[in-house]
Amino acid sequence: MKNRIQELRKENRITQEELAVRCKVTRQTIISLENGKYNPSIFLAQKIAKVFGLTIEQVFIFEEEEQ
Amino acid sequence: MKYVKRQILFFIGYLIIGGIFAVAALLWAPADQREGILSGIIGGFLVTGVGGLFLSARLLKNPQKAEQTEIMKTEERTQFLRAKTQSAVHSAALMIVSAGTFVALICGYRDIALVLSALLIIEVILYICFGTYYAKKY
Repeated sequence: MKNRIQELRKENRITQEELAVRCKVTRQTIISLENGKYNPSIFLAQKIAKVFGLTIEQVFIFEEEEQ
Repeated sequence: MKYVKRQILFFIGYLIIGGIFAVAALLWAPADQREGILSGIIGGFLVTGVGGLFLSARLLKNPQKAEQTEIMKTEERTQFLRAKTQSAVHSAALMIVSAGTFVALICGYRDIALVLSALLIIEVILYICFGTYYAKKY
């Protein structure tokens, strides 16, 4: 699953630390998400999308082959 | 803060259990073993309990640090990593115990091989039991 977290973060001028604090996770989690090493739960995906004022589908790109 | 308060309760419980064991050792342990048992209890339960309480109290005074610690310990990625690590360690332990059983048998240590194989069987039974339980629960 790809995501637009880094792109949206830069657009909104939010640092990884700020995003981590707002989502109540560690900065390491944000780094892992941005690098595509970790897929978030639906709850964390919702929190992240909410920070950017978007829906989950607008932040996370689900790829068909992964099914 | 919830995490720190839970930690404090945990360490208080630890101290209470340590205290009960210490009293039991003082009252019922054989005189020649009392000193060893008491030092073990003091080292294991009381020092850990007091140390844990001291660290938790320090965290309580610093709410920002307490929140950071709570996030670090409870966030989903940490839980994911913990589950993965435990699973890997369990698999490795199973292989080590299996190999140990064979080595003990080959070297002629029948008793050790029996104990290790019993451990293996218990682990497999527990694995099946927990697997069935979680399959029904989720």
